Amino acid sequence: MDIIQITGLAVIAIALINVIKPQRPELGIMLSIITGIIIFMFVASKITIVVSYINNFAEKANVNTVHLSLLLKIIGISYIAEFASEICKDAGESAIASKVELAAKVIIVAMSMPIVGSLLDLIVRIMP
Amino acid sequence: MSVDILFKIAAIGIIVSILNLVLKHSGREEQAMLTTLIGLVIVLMIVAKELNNLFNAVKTMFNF
Amino acid sequence: MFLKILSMLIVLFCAAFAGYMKSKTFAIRPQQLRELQMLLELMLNDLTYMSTLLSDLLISTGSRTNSQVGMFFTKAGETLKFNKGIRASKAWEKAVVENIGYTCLDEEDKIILINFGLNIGNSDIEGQARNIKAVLQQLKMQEHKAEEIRRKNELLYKKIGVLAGLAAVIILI
Repeated sequence: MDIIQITGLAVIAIALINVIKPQRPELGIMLSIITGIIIFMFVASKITIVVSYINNFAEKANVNTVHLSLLLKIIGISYIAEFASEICKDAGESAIASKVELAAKVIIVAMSMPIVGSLLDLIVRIMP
Repeated sequence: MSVDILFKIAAIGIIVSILNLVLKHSGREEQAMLTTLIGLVIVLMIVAKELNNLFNAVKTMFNF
Repeated sequence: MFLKILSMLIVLFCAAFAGYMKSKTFAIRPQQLRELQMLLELMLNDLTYMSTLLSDLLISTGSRTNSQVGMFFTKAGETLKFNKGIRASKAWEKAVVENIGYTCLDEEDKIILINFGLNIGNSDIEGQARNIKAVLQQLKMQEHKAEEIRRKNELLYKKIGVLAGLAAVIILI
């Protein structure tokens, strides 16, 4: 039944934003931000459950938890960056949106540098 | 949470635009702009609080 | 829950009431200006056709009305009567300054009244009559301006009161 609540919420939000946007465009953007946050919070608990499942299986499969946490962090960063960039695009600032995406990409690459480094190490050691 | 905040912000927006109209109509432009600004600041505070919640949730979720 | 609704209603009511009071001051001012003119015309009549003492004239004019505006005359007359050494203009000025807070007249009206007081009791009957006629004209202009201001502001402040109350309620809800 959750999806119905979420759909209802989205419809209400769209109605309100349509009323406010002509008069106060800035408040319309705030409304859309808040709607996004509320819908996310709705399903936040479910995401936590999925993440803990993944953690469980990773432990059982003897995967290094460092790698897994790095992976999850990257997912988190990309989610937040997409949230911000979509909001910027909605507000008409696609330049800022692309800068946010660029920042996210740079941060992700920087974060995964150690793993890539050790992978390259391995490869170099294998080669004669 | 949920719908309350949406309605609160929408109501603030409507009231601010009505006040704006009334003040502009009677010629007090500066006060109209002032009320708009104040409304914006209040809504910003609410949004900032919710954004804080969002980012904390994402942090705990993805084990930052 | 119920307490919340009750307090919201109280806040809304208070704000609306405040706006209403403010709008009322705009509405009352033309009325008081008209009353002031009427009293001055009565005083002019009494001055021209009866030779009474200035203090008695002021007191009798002031007693012709129940409202705040009459207090100018009454207080000025009493001060003049019981304070033998004081000048008429000083007595009038004192009465105006002390009592204008209780009326809805504003700074311009106060200045006009005090200027009127400077010439009171200073010349013969003809001069006094001319003085009163001059101040009557000024007050008439003020009354027109006040009507104009009233038209613009009365409804406005009522609306502002209600809207501000609504805004406060919504923000604090």
